[in-house]
Amino acid sequence: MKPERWDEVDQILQSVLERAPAEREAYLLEVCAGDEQLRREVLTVLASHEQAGSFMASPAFQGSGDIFDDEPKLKQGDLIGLYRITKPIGRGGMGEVYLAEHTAQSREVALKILPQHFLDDGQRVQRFRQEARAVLALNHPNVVTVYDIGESEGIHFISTEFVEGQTLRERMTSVRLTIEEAVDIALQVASALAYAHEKGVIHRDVKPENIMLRPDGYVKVLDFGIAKLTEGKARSGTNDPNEAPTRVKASTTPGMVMGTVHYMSPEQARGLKVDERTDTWSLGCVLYEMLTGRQPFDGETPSDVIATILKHDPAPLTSLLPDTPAELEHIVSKALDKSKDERYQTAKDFLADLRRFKRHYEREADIERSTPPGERAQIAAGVSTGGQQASPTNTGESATSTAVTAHTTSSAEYIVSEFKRHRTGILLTIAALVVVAALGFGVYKFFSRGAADKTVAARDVKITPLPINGILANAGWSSAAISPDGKYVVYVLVTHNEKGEDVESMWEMYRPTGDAKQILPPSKDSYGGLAFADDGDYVYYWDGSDERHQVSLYKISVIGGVPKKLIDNIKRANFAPSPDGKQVALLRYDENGGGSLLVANEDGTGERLLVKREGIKDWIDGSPTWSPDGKSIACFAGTYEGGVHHTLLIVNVAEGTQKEVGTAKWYGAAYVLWLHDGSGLLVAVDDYRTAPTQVWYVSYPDGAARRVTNDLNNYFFTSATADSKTVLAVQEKHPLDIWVTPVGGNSGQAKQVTFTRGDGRNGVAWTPDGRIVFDTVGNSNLWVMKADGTDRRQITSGTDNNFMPSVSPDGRFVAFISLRGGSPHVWRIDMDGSNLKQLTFGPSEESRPSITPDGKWVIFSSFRSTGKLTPWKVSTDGGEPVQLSDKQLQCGNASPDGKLIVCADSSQTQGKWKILLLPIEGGEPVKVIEPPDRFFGFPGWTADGSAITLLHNGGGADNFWKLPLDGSPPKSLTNFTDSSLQSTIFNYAFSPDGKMLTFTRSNSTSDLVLISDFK
Amino acid sequence: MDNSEQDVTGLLVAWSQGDKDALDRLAPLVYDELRRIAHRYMKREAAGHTLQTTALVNEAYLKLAGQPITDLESRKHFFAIAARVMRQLLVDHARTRRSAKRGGGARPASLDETGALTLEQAAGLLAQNAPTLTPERAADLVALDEALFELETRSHEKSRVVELHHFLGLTFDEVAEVMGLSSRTVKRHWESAKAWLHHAISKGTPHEA
Repeated sequence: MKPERWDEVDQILQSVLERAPAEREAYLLEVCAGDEQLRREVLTVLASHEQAGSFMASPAFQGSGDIFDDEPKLKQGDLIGLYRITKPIGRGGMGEVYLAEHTAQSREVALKILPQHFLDDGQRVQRFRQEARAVLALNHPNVVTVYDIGESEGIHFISTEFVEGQTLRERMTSVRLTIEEAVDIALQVASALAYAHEKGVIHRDVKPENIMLRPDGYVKVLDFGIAKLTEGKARSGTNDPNEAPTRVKASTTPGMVMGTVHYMSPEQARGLKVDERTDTWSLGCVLYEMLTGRQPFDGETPSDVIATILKHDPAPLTSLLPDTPAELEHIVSKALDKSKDERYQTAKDFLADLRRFKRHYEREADIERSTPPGERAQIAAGVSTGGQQASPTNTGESATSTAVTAHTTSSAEYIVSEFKRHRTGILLTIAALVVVAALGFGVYKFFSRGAADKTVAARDVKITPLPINGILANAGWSSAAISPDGKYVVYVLVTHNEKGEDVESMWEMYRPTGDAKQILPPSKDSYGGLAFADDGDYVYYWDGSDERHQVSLYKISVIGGVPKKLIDNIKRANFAPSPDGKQVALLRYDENGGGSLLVANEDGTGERLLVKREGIKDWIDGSPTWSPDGKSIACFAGTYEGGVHHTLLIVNVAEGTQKEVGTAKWYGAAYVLWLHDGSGLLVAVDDYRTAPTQVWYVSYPDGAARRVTNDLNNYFFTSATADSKTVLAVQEKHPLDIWVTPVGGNSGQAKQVTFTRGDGRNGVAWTPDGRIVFDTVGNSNLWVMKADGTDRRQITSGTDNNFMPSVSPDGRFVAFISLRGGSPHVWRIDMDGSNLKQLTFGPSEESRPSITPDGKWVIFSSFRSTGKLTPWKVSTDGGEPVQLSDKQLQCGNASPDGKLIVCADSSQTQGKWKILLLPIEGGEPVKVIEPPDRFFGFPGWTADGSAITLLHNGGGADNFWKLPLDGSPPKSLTNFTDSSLQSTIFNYAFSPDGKMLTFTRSNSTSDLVLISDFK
Repeated sequence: MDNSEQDVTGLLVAWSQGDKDALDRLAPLVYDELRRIAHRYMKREAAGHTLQTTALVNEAYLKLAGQPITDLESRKHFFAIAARVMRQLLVDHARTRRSAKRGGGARPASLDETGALTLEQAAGLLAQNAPTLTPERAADLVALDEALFELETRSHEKSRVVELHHFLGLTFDEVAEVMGLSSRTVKRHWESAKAWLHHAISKGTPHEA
């Protein structure tokens, strides 16, 4: 209907409606004057009026009685997209925040529901989405990670990392912060801002409500989600209305209260374009308030506050806080300069000044207190939170700080992370890794479905983060222990020395006060194997260097003092002191696979072999653990027979007899811990190939096994309290996502394209038309997406685990590993999900399939026939596989000309690993390359086939490099420098034209947690 | 207030002169203030009392601007904004409610091992018995909002009348006053708007009639 016509109809409608119902028809006929069409149109609408009944009869808010309630609108169990609401955790005038769970990933998130009107015009939705992309790419320990921004049935939401703790606002209302605390918080916020500004994101709404304080001292800045992406550097002075709506953004923040105007910069209050400097202003306001307890600019009404911001200087710090150091006063007034040109120009400058101040201030304080310098800095935040603050059942994202290199047992990643961990040259330092490699490359889902169904996670398990300020040492060598009385926690921290090298120090926290003290100074040696004997007086640990593969066993009193060397220079082993402290159990991996369990006296004398399992097919694994009476030791027995699996093994110390406990079998096994009360054992194990290392409880002696944790984290532990109620564990997260970068690209050019934190776990591959095929975490399936992460489409389906994709040269099909036949075999499927076909069969395990450039063969590694991992190929149409070498090798892909296959030889237990080039027909290697130090990862080919691609760690970042086959020096293919990219890279693939690179990256973090209520 | 762009009055003027952003800037302030004041009223007033809408809006203005509404123009604009905000607030609420239904709603309260309701469950049951927005009514409200959006493209005045009367709860006389129209005109707009909206909701969009 044309507007004029509509108006005409409406005019008539209005006049008709003014008449009594009985008169209307006659009147309408008259007024339409023969225009039958017009009459019918009016009549239709009129009929609606007559049928309206109670429609709009009472004001809309009647019957919406709960609108002004503080009752949350969503309830437990409600679904918003893929998220299930757990409970409300906060609200503001403009939105609600819930704790929710991602239904597919059992991940806890904070789910923010955005007010509808915020997004009710298309243009703004568009703008919002653009900003969202920038925000999603932020990845910094002080920035709350945004996982997902989406919409479901008209409800727009943002899901973010769920942070336990309190807001700075809450903290400030309950306590007055000290100068140290205030500066420490400001430092961390400045660090978050400096990072975000570098990425082109301005926060625009820095205020105490948006600053979360975690119990462990970490500060997390919230709500970058509403920040607007700045387009390049500030175009100063423009008053373009499109650039101006800063206040809109600032004001639409959920949690917005009237007070928000208090932190607005003068330019923001004027509605002018804002840049980084608006954030430094706001942080200045926050710092002022932390120090004085008063907002620098105040007023009766928002208008008054704005007037104050524009016209008045705040009261000098010294008038409110007489002892304010002059340096701090200067910092605050510089941050609050009304002229943005006189203010801190970048958050980085602000950060630098805060750091400098902190150093000076603490040095003075330290001198006053006559305590050794350096310690306070490290423990300040931990102490300030005062011991552990219980936060029930936090199994979600409460990640600390930056990357600790991942240790994941029983998977290929182990090798990668070990490479990285032992950065000095590396290879598989101990025979254990041969076994681990075997596990990593073998793939098996051993346990029956029935058994899996019975293993329901304990419902009431509590996982409580323990506040530790710093980065934990590699969890793989059990870097933390709790004393039997539960009062002490000893842990190993990684820091950097002046040369930027990793150094490890040992700390002891007295839990009742939360005080942490250093018991061993930073050293380039590694510490590990932390354990207590039953009396709790001594901590046992290893001290060793990675190069020597030799360690010495020490013990040190919890009261402090000089460590006592117990056993000098022995081959590294997993160990456990006996309950009476007189003996140690040692679990040692043998050179040629297999392993031994031994006992020895505390000083290393009287070594006695208890169990030996030999050969590549049988081994012994795990950290040994003593029964409470000291008569038995438990560990894992591993075997390849019938598919890789581990069972729990109990060995009688006096007689050396062994028995398996229960029927539970796990794919991978890392730790076992016998509870002091003898009721059972806790194990850290992997269910199946793509599963994380989770905690299970095995009751004793009946052996019934039950899963305790149910999340995507890895857990490692070696100690429990004497009452058997609490276990100290390292909770390790390595969320994986896929990145894309042009070859030659730098940190700024690398783009994260997936945000599920579980993509590309076992493989990524390019299609000829530039799309990316990848697998996922958990019950893995294959997916394909455009290289920018859009148009994500599932290729395989089901819960049988499909992973390690390789795309055919014509892009028509994918070869991959699937467990759908029970054990891991090579399968193929068309890109559109049709023509699923199994290519290999039999009692075997296959991994890393790769299609040759001619599309005729799939190369893969397999345990078939020999029981050791060797290279094979099978026709892409199926048929009998052909063995390419009888050497123990992990094979990669074929060269671009299809003539050679690149393989990694990590069978040497000492010395370096090697890269071998085999002819595609099989046989002896045509070339053997020894990668220089600091190179690691799976070898691949450059697009022209002239060089081998590898990863290299140096200068604080991992980069892709090539090793030219002509012997010329290695060359870097990427120039990542950003420290935020200092994280583990797992899988990668170069595009067929060699111009693009996709890779899977994980920013692993480790937290100490206490697990209780697991029985 | 020398920086007229910033204070509420200034924003009202800017908005009336077609600055869409001014509304964006004002709305959250009004939204929050209305919610707070209304919440206070609801707690204070016994059940069954209707909100004294004009008082509420006047109070919100006072809080925001730091002065009572004096001139007619400001009053006119501020009420329009309040009505718009109220509509958004109610529709947002409805949208969430509607989706709650689709998500399966609240889990039924179950007895714990001792056979007693936990405090939380008891509170949940009480809340469920309070007069809340039903999912059906919520769906109606969302549909109304969409229809009103269409109507606004036809007649801005009509949609303002609906917002002020239906969403903000002003009487026709009050609507007439803040819109500067006669009561009769307001009533005429209301009746025809109701017809168009109902028609749109039950049949299709208004302009396709």
